[in-house]
Amino acid sequence: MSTEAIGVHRKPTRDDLEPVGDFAFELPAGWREDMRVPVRVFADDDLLAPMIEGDALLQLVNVATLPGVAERVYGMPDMHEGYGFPVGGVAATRMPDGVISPGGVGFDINCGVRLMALPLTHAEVGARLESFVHDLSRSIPSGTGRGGEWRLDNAEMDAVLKHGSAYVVNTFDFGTEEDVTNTESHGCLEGADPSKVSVRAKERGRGQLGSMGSGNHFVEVQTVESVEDALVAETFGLKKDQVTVLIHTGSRGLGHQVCTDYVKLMDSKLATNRITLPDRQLSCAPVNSPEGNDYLGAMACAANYAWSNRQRIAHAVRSVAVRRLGVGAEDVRTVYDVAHNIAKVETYGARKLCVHRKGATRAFGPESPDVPSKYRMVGQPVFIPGSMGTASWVLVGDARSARQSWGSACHGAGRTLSRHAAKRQVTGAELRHQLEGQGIVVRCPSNAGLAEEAPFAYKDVDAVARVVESAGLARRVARLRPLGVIKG
Amino acid sequence: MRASSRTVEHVGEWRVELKADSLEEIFQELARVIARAAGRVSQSYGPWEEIDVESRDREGLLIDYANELVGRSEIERRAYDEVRDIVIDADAQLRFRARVRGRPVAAWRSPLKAATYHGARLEPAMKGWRASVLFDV
Repeated sequence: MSTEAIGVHRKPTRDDLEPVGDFAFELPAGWREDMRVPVRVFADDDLLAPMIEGDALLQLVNVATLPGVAERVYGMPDMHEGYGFPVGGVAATRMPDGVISPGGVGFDINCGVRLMALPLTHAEVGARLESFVHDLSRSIPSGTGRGGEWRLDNAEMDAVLKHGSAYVVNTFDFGTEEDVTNTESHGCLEGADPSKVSVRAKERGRGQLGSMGSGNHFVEVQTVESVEDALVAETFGLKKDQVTVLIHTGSRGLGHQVCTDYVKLMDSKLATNRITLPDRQLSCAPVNSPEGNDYLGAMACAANYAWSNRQRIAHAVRSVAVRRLGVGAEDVRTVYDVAHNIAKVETYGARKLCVHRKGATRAFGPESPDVPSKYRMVGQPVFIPGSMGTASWVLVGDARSARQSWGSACHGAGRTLSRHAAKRQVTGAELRHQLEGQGIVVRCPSNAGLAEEAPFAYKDVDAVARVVESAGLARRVARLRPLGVIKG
Repeated sequence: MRASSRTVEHVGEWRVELKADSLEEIFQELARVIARAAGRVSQSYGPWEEIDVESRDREGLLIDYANELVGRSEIERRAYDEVRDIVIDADAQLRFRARVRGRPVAAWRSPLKAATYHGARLEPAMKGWRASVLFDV
């Protein structure tokens, strides 16, 4: 079928999709002339509908046109409309001649989550919950553009960008060796080259290390409401009623500027590299080109900054737990820290690929050498945070994900309503009242920011987690219920 | 017609549509959109600063200009809402030069992280010009 006949911007319909088992749908590569590979979406009928109605599926079709894209592109169950890549999109490109796309990583490079476990139950925290949440909100800077007290000098900045989490742990004592071990890629992507990060990017990040930011970023205090897989939960150090803290943030202004710089650079080189794209925000360059190589070096720096950022916040969480709850610092453990927005060089069989995960998380199964040794028997922890006031899930990577989704699972519940639409349905004050009525302690200086992240603006996280498991991407381990929410 | 802007629904991000009598006013209105998002400003302006952006086409120029303002604003904590002495390359419209000045923002609250090329438009309309910009928030 010709591109002209079908129209480049025509949206796929439900009838264009072929079911693949009970929880996947595929659009063949021939559906549009410029597609190089098929598109596969993991969803049930309810989750699929908004992907078709909005532009998410169409955006994934556009991803399938990238030069050097391998085998198939994937949409996770939480996929929703973004810009260029959809949020919840996964694509791998052949190394070294396939492309790298900064838009396939996103502006907030290595936005991700870290789960920490406290040695206390909800009942043991008791009435101290409010002061714990309040102190966290005072100790972790939040809000747009806001940073902490730490302004990195040039040498510190380059060391953070080059070495990631281990640098802030070993040099400043902001954490433990176990924190680093229990972080994806040990909190440091290889190949980081600070000389490829612009002065402006470094300036935007100079005062923001250890801060949360705004939007959908949060720190949440939770309790393990139920355990679905006792053996794996025990391996992760989780048990029923235990209190946990989930940290969600990324590389702040530094990452945004790295993406901005390289999207512009690659956009300017598209003609030189003889690349034609259906969406400019997919701008890309061959991995082995100078600009592709430079971006990988800069992206690794931003990823390392993000891991250092979450490490610094984890240190604040630990300090507050010691101060408010009287626990030992060594008993506040990092369960795991995963990236959501990243491109990584990974090997599948004999193939070396550059796997783009835009709003998707790695979900490696048992025996993977990239999983910390203590978790290797069961697989890596995977986290699906819900929206405020709803549950979050801990899952474990399924070995089948390597064949099914380039070792990936989804990263959250996924938005269904715009921020403005959410604000039209509830005010921040009303939502604050509702959450407090559920016993959730809320600390958010902005009522508008609170309303934008209302629970009904997101998909049902339980349905998303169920589809992830049914599709063989990751298995459910424990359900976490919120006790306290801190937002910027 | 007075230059104006309005929000268009987007599930995850923030799309703004702009209208103005002239191309120059589109750029000025976009600066005001970015500045308004930054938060409450003080009355006193800072010094005039040069801005110089190049891109491969008209839409790219608008987006790259927006990103220049977003990045500069965040670092300087200023809302750059005045743009003067605009010179846009008359032949291919590949270069934008102007002077901008901004006012300090007391409590920074801009949700704008970057402007994207996705669906960017800048084109003549029946009357004047219109544009569309999607911001990452």
